[in-house]
Amino acid sequence: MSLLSLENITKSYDKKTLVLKKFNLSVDSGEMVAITGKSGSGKSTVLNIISGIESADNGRYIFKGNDMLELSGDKMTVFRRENIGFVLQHFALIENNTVFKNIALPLYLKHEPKKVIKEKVVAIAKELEIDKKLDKIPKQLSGGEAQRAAIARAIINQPSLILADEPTGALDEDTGLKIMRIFRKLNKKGHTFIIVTHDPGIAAMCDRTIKIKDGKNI
Amino acid sequence: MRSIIFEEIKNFVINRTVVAVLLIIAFSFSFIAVNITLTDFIYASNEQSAAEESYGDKTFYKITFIGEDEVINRLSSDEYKENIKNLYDSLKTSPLFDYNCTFKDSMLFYNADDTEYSSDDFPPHKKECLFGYEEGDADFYTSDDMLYLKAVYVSQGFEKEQHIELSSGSWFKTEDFNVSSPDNIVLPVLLGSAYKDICKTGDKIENAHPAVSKAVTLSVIGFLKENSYFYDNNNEKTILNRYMIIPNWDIGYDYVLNNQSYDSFFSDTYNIFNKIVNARIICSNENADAASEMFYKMLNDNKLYEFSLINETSGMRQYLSSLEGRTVSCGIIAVFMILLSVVMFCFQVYYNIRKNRKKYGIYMISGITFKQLFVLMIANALTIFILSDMLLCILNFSLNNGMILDFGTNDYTITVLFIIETLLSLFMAFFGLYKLKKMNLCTLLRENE
Ligand SMILES: Nc1ncnc2c1ncn2[C@@H]1O[C@H](COP(=O)(O)OP(=O)(O)O)[C@@H](O)[C@H]1O
Ligand SMILES: [Mg+2]
Repeated sequence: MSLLSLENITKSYDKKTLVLKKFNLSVDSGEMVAITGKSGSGKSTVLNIISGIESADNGRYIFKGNDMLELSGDKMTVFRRENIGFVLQHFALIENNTVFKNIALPLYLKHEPKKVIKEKVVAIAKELEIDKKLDKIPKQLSGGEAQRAAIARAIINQPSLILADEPTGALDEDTGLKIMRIFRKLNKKGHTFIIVTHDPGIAAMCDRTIKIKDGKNI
Repeated sequence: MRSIIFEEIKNFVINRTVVAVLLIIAFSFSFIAVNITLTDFIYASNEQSAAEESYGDKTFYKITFIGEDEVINRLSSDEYKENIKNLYDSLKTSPLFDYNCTFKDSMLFYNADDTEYSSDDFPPHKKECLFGYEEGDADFYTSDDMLYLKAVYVSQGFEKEQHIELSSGSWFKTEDFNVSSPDNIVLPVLLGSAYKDICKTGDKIENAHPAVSKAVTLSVIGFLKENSYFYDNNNEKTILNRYMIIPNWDIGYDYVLNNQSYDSFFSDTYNIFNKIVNARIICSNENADAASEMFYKMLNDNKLYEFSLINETSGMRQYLSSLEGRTVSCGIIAVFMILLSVVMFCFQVYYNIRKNRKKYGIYMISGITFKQLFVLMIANALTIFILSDMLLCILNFSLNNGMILDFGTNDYTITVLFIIETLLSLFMAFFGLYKLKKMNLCTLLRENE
């Protein structure tokens, strides 16, 4: 079953150079897809369009049957909050906040009750084996722990799709593999993954690989 | 959400204390400048409208004299009484101008303990005297042997003043302005609305001494409506609630005594202060010069050379334009200060977003809505304003008490403060959102790279 599809997407930031040129992508529910390509080829841009952070100039983007290019503003935000989780290369954790607060952030923004927040955060932290670190701040964590905290935040709302932009880029090989195993475990539970990477080893661990060059499929 | 807002404020106050303090000081002092301007402006426009209301398009002269005590002594002496009376009579009958002598003065009541007056004479009045003042105010005006009642001595035609109405009783009649016998003098009086509780029409206030050494009876003939007011000779708005209104009487009897001296009531009546120095000469603008000329001729005729005329209206015009100048320069400073603090606020928003762009980026990928971001931006602004308000309160309190500086708080201070703060908060919030929108998420999240 198709979860999302991008058809003939074009995008330019400065109205002159096209970053994406008629890019196509189709992802089924439950898939784990890798996107690879050189630096500057437009990988992150693809993720940004999928997440709705950037909008495409042209083309069609369907997510769970919704025409995503029609959504905007807070509607888009709420849709993203419910359906899409983010994992980034540099973890993107708020430095002054504890791991608990970092993970709970999407729930705070949804005005969930305190008790529910606590239950959910602790459950996910246990699953990712960072439940001992909940009252630490990001500086006190190792790279792998920080990335797991970021993953915990990404999946706290149980999104159907998780976008990971170079999730292992800042980690050593072993830790990177560990993260990939976690992804696979989550994938088995039903989360769809789109992982941007330039590491062929990581890409090989996914179900299939989409290659992109100068904003075009190859 | 609450914990996120709290985090935002904590971050602002603790991590960027210097910026916060500078902003608070900048805003507080800008507001002080605005408030002083506003107070000046209100004062100036009140003066302006008072001037318009009381002067209209007429020229007002005031009579004054050159010299000090010796001049006063001479002009008040019996030798000049007749001249003063003559001058007064000719002022009243001149076709070129109107003579008006309506002035605030105190009415003296002597203390019962004073040996010259029997205790029977006095007691009832103390209550009335005290009633003339707001609570606590009276101590200022009382001395050991005297009490002063707030009084207004009025010329005929006082009822034509625009903002004065009777609530009961009747106006003075022409004969009320004339004392026809030296014995059993009865003067009709009108009372301000505050007196309603202790007096009623027809009451007699015996043995009062309205600036004379002769006993007179004050007979209450009516009451003024609450908040009746007029502009006195200093162009000061005078609300008459606590005043007694007394006719400015003339003498109609033969006041020359057997020994060729003057009757004391006559002497007091034709005191220079009562009839001349408190008077105003009012004429149309075209007649202004002719009126002045005529006045000096009258002085000459009566050998009262020490008097002179002051043109009140042109003085007022000068005063008003100087007030206006002051208000304008104050306003320029205020505008400058406000601009300065707006620039500082913009800088703070910009700096905040640059410094915390990663945090805002994370909020955005975690699904913060436009409304929630707006609230966060407002929270920053409100923190500054709440702390500024506290500083303003402290400054206002301590400086006012130390009499160093008066902020000139006025009726609108709080409202204006509130409006400025609301506008600035909104401005800051929208500016912040605009900035965030312009830096897209990739830029926001790129912090560590
Ligand atoms: N916000 C932006 N504004 C302007 N140009 C951008 C922006 N983001 C990316 N680009 C440009 O778009 C191209 C693709 O960027 P990106 O999608 O980040 O590539 P990748 O993730 O594959 O390294 C690059 O040339 C980059 O300079
Ligand atoms: Mg990239």
